[in-house]
Amino acid sequence: MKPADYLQQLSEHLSVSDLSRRFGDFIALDRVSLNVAKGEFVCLLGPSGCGKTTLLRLIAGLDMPDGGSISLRKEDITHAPPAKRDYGIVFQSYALFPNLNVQDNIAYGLTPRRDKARHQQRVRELLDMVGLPGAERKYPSQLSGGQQQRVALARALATSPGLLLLDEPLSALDARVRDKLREELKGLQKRLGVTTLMVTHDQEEALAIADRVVVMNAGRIEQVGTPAEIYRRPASRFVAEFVGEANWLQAEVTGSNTVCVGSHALRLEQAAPASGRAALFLRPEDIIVKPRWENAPNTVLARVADVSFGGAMTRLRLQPEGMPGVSLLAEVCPSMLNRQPVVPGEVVPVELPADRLLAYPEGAAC
Amino acid sequence: MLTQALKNRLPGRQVAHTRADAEGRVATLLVWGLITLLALALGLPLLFIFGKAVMNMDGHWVGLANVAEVLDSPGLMRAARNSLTLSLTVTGLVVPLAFAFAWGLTRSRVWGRELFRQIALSPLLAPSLMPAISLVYLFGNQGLLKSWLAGGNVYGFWGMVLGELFYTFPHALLIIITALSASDARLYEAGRVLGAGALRRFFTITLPGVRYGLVSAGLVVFTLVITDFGVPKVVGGDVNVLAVEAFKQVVGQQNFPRGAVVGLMLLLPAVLSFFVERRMARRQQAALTARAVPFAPARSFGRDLAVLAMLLLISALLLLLLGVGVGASFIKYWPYDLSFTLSHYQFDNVDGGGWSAYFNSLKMSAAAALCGTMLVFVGAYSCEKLKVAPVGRALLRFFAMLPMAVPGLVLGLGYVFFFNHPANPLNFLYGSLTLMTVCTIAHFYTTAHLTAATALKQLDGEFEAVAASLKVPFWITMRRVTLPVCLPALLDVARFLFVSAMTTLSALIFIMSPENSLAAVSIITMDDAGDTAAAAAMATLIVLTSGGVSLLVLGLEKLLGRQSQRWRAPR
Repeated sequence: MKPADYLQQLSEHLSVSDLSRRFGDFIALDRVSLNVAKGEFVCLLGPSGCGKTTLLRLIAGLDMPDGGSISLRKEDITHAPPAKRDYGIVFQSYALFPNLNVQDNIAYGLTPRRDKARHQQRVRELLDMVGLPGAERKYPSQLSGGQQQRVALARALATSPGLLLLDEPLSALDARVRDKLREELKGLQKRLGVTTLMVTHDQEEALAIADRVVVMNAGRIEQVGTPAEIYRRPASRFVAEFVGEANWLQAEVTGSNTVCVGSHALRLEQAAPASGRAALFLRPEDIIVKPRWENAPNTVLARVADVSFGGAMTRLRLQPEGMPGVSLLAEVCPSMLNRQPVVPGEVVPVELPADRLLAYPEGAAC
Repeated sequence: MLTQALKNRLPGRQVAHTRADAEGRVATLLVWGLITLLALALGLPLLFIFGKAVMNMDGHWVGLANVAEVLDSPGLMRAARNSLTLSLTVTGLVVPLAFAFAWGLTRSRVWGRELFRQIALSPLLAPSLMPAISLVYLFGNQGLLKSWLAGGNVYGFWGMVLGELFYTFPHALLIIITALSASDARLYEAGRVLGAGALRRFFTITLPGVRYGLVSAGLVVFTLVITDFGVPKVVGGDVNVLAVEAFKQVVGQQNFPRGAVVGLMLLLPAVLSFFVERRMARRQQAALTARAVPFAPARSFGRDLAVLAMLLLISALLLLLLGVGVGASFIKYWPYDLSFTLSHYQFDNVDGGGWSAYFNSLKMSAAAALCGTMLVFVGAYSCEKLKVAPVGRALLRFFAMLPMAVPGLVLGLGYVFFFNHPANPLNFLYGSLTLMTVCTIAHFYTTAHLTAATALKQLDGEFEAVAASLKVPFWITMRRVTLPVCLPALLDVARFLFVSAMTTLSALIFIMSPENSLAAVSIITMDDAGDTAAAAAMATLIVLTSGGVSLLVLGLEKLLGRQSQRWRAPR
């Protein structure tokens, strides 16, 4: 074993390698490998059926893999029963025991089972921690969705597990409660330093809460990175389309880092794909509407087809001249528009910044 | 050290097996233990019927000779034809009647619908002999209304039809009510908006919506009638049917091979309807996936009046067939001396076991309710919630559904062949109350299992996963969470098993022994001996007991509901 490998393994808390799971002909998980460091908050993000829940259930021991291995604190737990692993779990449905009150729900896994006084002490601590003090005697049916979620979280954390698994924990909540709980969950996780793996299909949630995001598709990992990396530098066309909004332009590759869209030549900062055709990617907020025309690279004239007010951002639909059939979505700050009002029908100069344009091979898996 | 090295060389999958935990082993043991029990109580007896059918009296292989012999026997074939005609006639009559009744209960605003429902379900509390006895009192040789028949006779085909109508009505009603309740009000609104009249709505929305329910009710009724023993025995007269024939062959003539073949003939429609029903249930489910708005009938005086008349008429007939038997049991000498007496309840000078038979029934029913409910709950829990032994759980599910396809009469035959076999080490059980309890539980297992499984399915599927992550073994979660939450459903299962055990006849008549007689069976004995009043008294005792226990369970459920209100009530 090389020293470098050894050092890297020290920081690994949860390690998944080459994990596969098939259901009949359907490949739910295709040789997936992933390392999670101690204290890290990792989100598994992807559309339904991408394998993220399967991966979580395999780690939880609720399902057994067809191949590969899982280790927690360098101990192989691939085939260990759930009770032999060290984790707490929160489900989308919360799965609170309806006939037990909050106290008994949270103390359910505490040992030794008879030590009531210690349990009470611990439950009080946990309820304070999740912001629900004094709720011991209530039953789940007497709590709101958000409160039930806090109890479920307290129950999962009661035994101080080394790993916290969250299966779409916020999906069943109202938008307002969801945002509030999201913040609290992140704060709590940082305070406790518990390694956390959360499954979600909500990209906004994943980007907001995670230290690292794992984007999955069709049983494979598409990209692992920080939220900024995922958003700014999507590793594949799938990630680019799944995370955030984007403009897509069909382009002809003309040089090592130049492409042609319609009659316009555009420069890229990264290398263009080798093939003849490429799909150009540009975030709406990266399009710059310029005050006046100047002959600069990547700058084109565009007709404003539509302007819609969107609160913090104003959305423009632009039809660049010389790019027939192309329609660009741009988001601009109203503060900028204050100086330069834009009205439908107007022709404005816009820049498609070279450092924000990414090119993907045409027809790549998406 | 060496073992460690060996372990390291094994592929991952095998290491997992060596590491299987205690909890998993307990669960696996539980599943296979249950399978063993059900195989003994269900699988092997059924296999023995097939075995007997292809062997002669001396136990030698004869292939299909027995079948050929039965097919050649004019008496048996006449019985088969009678059985078929009877079953088809009753099915054709009871399904429209039950549909009308169910429609009245679900689609009108008549006052007292719940009361009518209870009256319509009351035949469930009585053995199928009860309507037959009432018919004898009404239209028998000394019947009150014998003159109505204009020289005719209740003993025979139409007597059986009437008795079976009473017996099968609640079974059909329950299924059709369920089908009708699942309707979607939005469809009716759409129909009205599009200008469809009441009649058109009925034919284009109501009927198509319940067609699976109607077919399913028809199949259930058909199977019940063709395998029923009680009604034909009492009012069949000289019209022979297969169910009685099977009894005669086995118990009367000890001709096991012939009895086995007749049993298989009765198994055939049951198995067929079982598969048809299962297929339809799947399609029905697909039709009901959308979130439906429950139908609430509008106010309509004319409709409600017509419905009330119909409900009153059918209820009156049902109560008549129940009440005449009950009433007659308190009357000195029908129809000549109508003064009140309890003397028929002394059972001193009659055969059949009298009060000891009644107490045997009580003991057996209580045991079946208690042990059966526990067994059913653990079985359903294993099927629904455990993750071990997938093959075992599939087998368990198969065994749980099997009794649905096996008429009690066939099961009873199987018990005779299997447990009465001299080489069977369980032979000592034959004729005991224990075996009758086992047989009863096996006979009614499917309905009980489905009730428990439905309750379990409604629980959050992640309870077990959460408990496992908290390192709590499944049996603690079962006791602390699953059992308390499912208690209302389990009370229902216990009530069902008790009432069924009290009233059933078809399986037990084959395996009961004279020293351990049962109430329902003693009715047959008394009726055979001409002690109709005593038979009516015993039937009345059964009705009262079943009704009493049902009320008791209802009270318990109310009490339980109050206790668990704190956590069941929504916010």
